[in-house]
Amino acid sequence: MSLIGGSLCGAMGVFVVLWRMSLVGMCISHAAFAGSLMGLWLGFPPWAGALTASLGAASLVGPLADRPGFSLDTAIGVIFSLVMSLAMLALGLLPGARTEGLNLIWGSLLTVTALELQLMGGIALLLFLFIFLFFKEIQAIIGQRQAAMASGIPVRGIRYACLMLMGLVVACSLKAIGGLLIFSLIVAPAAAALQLTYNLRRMFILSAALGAASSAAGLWLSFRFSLPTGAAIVLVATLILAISMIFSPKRKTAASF
Amino acid sequence: MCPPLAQLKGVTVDFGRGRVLDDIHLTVRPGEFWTLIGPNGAGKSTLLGLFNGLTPCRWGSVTYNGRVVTPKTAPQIRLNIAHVFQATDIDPKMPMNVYEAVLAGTYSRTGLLKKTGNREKESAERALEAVGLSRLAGRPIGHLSGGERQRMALARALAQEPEFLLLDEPTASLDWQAQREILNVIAELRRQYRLAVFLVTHDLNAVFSMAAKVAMLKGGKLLWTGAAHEAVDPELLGLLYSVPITVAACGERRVALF
Repeated sequence: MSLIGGSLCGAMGVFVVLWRMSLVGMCISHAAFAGSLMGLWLGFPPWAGALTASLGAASLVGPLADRPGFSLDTAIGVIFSLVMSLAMLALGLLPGARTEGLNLIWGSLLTVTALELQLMGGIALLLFLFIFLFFKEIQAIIGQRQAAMASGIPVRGIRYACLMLMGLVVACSLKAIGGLLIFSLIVAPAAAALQLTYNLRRMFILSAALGAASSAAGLWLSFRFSLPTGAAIVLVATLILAISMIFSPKRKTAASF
Repeated sequence: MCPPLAQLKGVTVDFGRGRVLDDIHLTVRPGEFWTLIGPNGAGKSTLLGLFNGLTPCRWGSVTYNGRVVTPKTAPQIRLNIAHVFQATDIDPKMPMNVYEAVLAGTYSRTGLLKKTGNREKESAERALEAVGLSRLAGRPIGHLSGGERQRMALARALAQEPEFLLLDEPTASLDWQAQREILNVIAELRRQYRLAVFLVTHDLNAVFSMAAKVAMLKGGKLLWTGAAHEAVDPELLGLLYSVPITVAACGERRVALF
């Protein structure tokens, strides 16, 4: 479970890092968090709430970003605080013991159900299929987005599909990793992989592997020393990022520019 | 006279409430070399984007090879038009090398879900050769100098095997040697590939020595179109840029000074 979740987030992160969508990603992941809390409060399954909210946020942010003359930073700032306040509102209104709600913040792998596991497997399949099938278009868009668009590649379609997938990935990994922390599991492995390779294919693989490794190691640490799971995972991922930055072969070349 | 390749008829473009282009009429025939000059903010890049539908056109019509350019026809039409954009910064860590970036120029023709074949690879290698970058094919794209980056963009456009090449200030922010190189490469490619070229530039002297036809754009309106040798006119250029411009004779060439 943690392996799938980690590699999913890791692979997703490549898009986030190379397409400079960190803010968009943050917005979607927090929308998912708010959605799941709302779900809990209104009495439908949290994953359904997360799914609705993150897909909603993804489909809102994509077209907004494509509008000419529109400041995406501002829009995301507004949406971000809106969804956070919704999350807090739901948490505040939650009746009785708030264990489940708090679990959504910090993440807890042990309460994941078989259905959620299957959902995650399906989405993993979808994401890796997407990357495999559209690899050359993804590469063209990363190289130069405007040129890709001008040469007739369906840039908008690919980007929206990617945002939707991000919504799905976030929604299904939320419970395991936690709403506040999931975003760093998306960014950290990809940022670490970026330090280590000049090849996009290797970057996807490396990023997924690092994501899976951070999840597994974090999980082990949390069992061993009874730490909160999500926090342990994210700390491991960040540690990996720090190490790869220190030992990056790109450091020398980057410094000389 | 051969039939027009691309034609703008009474095109008007608004962004929000502002009028960016106003009643533009222009005809480009196969193999012609056009340059578009004008002050900053005149709408030059916007006009360039009309040909491949990147600029949506509200009034008037844009046709390419007799087909009207609409959001529906644009993807198909774009296969034959390559567009080189103003140079942008590239993250030095970008996980892609020069060859991969140039090969990406062929991807739209290959189509979705299809694998790149030998033909595309040869096309990319030829394009690298043509701009003189074969030596750097394996270098990460973030490690190129400004001039090399611009040549890479040109190679990507060539790999697409277009019949019409749109160039948006390809020599901006380059040193004199790099400017010369890029312009020579463009002139050579045009001969070799029999391309129609539409070049946006601020380099007036390049215009007079290279292009056959000149269009002048000011405040969204076409001020003047005609042959390049007639465009070397101090009064006309002064009106275009709103500064006094002198034309000096320098041997065979006439150069603009301000």
